[in-house]
Amino acid sequence: MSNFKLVGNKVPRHDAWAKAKGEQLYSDDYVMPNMLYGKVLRSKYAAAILRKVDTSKAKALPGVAAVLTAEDVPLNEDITKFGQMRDVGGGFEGLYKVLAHGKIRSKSEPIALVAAETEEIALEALKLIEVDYEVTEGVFDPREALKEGAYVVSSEDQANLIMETKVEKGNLEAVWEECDLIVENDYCTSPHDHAYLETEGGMAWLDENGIITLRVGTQVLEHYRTIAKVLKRHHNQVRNMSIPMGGGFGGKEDITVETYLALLTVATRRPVKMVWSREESLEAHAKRHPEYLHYKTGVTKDGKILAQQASIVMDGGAYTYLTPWVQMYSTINGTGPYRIENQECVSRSAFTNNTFSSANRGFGATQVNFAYERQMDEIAAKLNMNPYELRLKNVLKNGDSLSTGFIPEGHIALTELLQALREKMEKTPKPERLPDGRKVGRGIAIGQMSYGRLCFLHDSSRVAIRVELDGSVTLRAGVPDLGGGQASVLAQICGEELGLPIEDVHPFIMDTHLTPLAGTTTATRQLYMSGNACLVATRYVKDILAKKAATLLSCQPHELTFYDRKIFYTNDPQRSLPFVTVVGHVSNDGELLFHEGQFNAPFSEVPDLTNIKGRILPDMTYTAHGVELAVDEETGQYELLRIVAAVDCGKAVNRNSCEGQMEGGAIYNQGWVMEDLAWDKGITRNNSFATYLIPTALDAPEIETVLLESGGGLGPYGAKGVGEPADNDICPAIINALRDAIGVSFFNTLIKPQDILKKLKG
Amino acid sequence: MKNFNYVKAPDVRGALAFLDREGDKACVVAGGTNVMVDIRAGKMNDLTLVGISDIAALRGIQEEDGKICVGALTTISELAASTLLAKQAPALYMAAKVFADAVTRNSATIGGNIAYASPAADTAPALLALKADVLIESEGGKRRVPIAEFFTGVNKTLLQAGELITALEFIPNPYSAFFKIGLRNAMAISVATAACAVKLAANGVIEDCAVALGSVAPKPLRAYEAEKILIGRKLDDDTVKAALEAVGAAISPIDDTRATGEYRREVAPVLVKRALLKASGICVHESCKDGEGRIQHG
Repeated sequence: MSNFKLVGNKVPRHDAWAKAKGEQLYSDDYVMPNMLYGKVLRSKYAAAILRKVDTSKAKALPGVAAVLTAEDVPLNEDITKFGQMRDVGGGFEGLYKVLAHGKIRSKSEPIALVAAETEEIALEALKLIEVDYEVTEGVFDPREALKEGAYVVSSEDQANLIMETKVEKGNLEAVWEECDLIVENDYCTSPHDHAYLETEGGMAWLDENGIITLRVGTQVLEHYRTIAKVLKRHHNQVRNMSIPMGGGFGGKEDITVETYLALLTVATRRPVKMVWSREESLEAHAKRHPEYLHYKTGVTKDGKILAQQASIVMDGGAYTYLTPWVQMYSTINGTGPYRIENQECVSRSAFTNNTFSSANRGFGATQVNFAYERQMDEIAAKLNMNPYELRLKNVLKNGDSLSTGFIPEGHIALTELLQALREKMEKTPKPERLPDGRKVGRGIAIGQMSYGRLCFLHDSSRVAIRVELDGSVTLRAGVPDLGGGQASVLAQICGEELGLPIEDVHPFIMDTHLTPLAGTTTATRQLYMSGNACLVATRYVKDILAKKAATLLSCQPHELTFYDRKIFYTNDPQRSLPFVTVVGHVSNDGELLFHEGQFNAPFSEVPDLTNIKGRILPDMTYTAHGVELAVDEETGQYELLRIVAAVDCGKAVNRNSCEGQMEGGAIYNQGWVMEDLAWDKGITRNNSFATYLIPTALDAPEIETVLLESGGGLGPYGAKGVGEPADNDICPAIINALRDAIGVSFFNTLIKPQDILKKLKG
Repeated sequence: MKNFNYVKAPDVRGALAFLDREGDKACVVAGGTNVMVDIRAGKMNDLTLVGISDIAALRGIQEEDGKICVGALTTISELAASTLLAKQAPALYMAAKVFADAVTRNSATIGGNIAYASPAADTAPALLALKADVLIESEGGKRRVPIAEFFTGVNKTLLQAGELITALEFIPNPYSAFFKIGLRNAMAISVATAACAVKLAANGVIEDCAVALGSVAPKPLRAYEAEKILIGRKLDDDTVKAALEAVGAAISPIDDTRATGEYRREVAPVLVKRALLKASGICVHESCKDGEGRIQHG
């Protein structure tokens, strides 16, 4: 493992210069001749009955090419799919409604689509559509929604309950009495936007064969199947291409503009472009599930956790989308990365008339991470115990089972991570105050988050490798690139195996007609899944090359090394052939240097949701974060002074990307503490970046990243995924640090200076 | 979105002619950082935008006859880069330093910030503390309005149809300072701001002072009662305490998405205290020393 040329280094990504120089095109940069502009009319009310939509005035406006409502959609209702290759059933796939009819479930629910010659005309046409609403009361808190007699959000389902799940271990009731201390708290997490710079958008057109062709920013190319179903076409009549995205973070996992664009382009037989405004994006696309969590933990006086019970109510918002899957993550991670013999986590999710909730970096693991790590510091304070010691005493170790009884194959590095974090954080003693008088606080948190999708989705990925006659390589994979280097890392793995520099490998990605289906760029799965598929494909052609080279160099294939565009006899590097020469020989033999490699994740069946057991996810990544901050006690403002972000990434395949994910994740999670959508009865009051305040460069502290490389992951070279695990711990660590600084506790994620000042004033 | 006309004024005379002709339908646009946002939001419709950004005569900072004159088209970036202001009018300099973000500062102008009359305009409390005059021209002539009289309400000023702000003028005061609370360190509309300017006698007695606040009332304002308490006294704890109580009486903050009125009521006196001490050369807070009017974020 020590002879890596590309793997493990800070390899510049293949697309780095294009991005740095502004040459990379995003969804809004594309135009086509004869193109129309598409816009969506959205509901004015969060809860209403849609009585009638009159589009006649809009249709009569010069320059309007099409106005569509639910009646114009060939199949207006389908089930929500997220790229999985099988129908899972069991309540996991909810209703996907293209355009509204019946009950309006949220403000911004789409009612009609317009395509017009200019963006201005399209907007004008929206104003001319007359909608007759019967406004209803609505329900906006999932706890209220689950009460008997609550307003029913949907006209298709009879109740607001989406799903109920439970995981348990040991015998809670028998243990409470043995505990020296029982700590019970209620926590609450706020909705959170993905806040990518590039809003949802793309374009669609019919090609010369009448194929519906799309180029949209999406994390899930496999939505082409839903587009085909909605348009009542065969799957092979839709070609879906993505573009390198300006961020996804889960927000482009659900279908966004795809069906709207396909409907409008089919209706007008012209190319159509649609890009959502920031307001539209903030109001209409999914948010991280707000959760209401109750924790009860029993410990001995020396800090051993004997029992922990968590119960969660999740706000699913207006439609199901990914709620059941997110709920699985919240449920099985509910009690945290701790060895607790007696534990239980019960979750219920409910419809409300809020913007729908769905995937957001961390996918349900983040909400419980906030709660269990706040709970740990509350316990530590009550026991007068050091927060590191309390965690070290209880963390999972190799051989321990997770909440579902499953014992992970991958390494569990929590002890090492906590020790590394402590070393960094305590390198200098904590000052009581800064010279300006501000109080200093330090806080930590640890996290557990999976990489790879739920095992009952039967996830797979494919990557194709073709060696060209000049020795360069074309790598093809249906991998959407969100900016996380998802494509570049595949080129790096391929180059490493074949002994080629990264620039010799061209990754051609994300086109359902041309690239093998590699699955979604979600669930921190691409390095794990497509990285492994890339290894399969590359090693297949490498074997062919090695056999030929062995003949030419009079040795055995396993005695060869691929390095520096050469293949040589390992024990005598003088005996070598240029890579391209061996390629020429193989080609002369009439053999194609091509392979499509496949990698399958471990498969399982849908578990019993009332008692979840077994392998639910392939493996876990573990993190430990520390925060140092200063609080201004006169104004309630606080400043992050430093962050230490530690992760066991198994193997840092691209060190730059790994550090980038850890830094980005830290600031993303920092934002959760300050970002406020200001939901008010289903209305998003803060619907622009002038009011929905995310951290800026001036708000980000120095971040020190610690990459532990245990080699104990299931990805290529023992790597684990880090994209979502990076978005754990900081929020609870900040709030734990506030407690350390000024001695006040917060039980919700959103904290403003005014909240801090109020608590300080008592 | 394109529901406006646009004319470009070559010089002040041309601008005044356009403004006279269009009357109430005219809207002066310089950096456009407020106007374009309002047009997109549908808050301004069918106006004639009179573009003045090319009028070089309205741009720049000059010191003449013991006064500093800042042309209305001077960008916030130029204020924040001015060594003259850093020395002779730190309140305005500090306000410019924490105004929005670098991109906005490059477009936004001091005249626009004043004319738009947001209660949260960051240059307003600084100019109030410096007792600036607003220099105004129209076809009918010129006039000069003390800035304390200029603001009349939320987005409302004494400016009449046909009038153009040409400059802000004030007597330099090195003993001035500005502080702001926003919800983050850049691109944050102020939750509360305060600026103070003082004139100290050799024995430390305050001979004159001005205390101004932003984001805590329908318009940026002076706390006259607080000033009266301060004048003639030394800046001791009792005096400060009494002055801050008077500040509380002068403001009428509201709840909005940024903060509660209650919070603004708590922090406005803190900002005034820090601005007073900084202006007087008594620095008790480390964050004062970097020459920026930002207190750490939240």
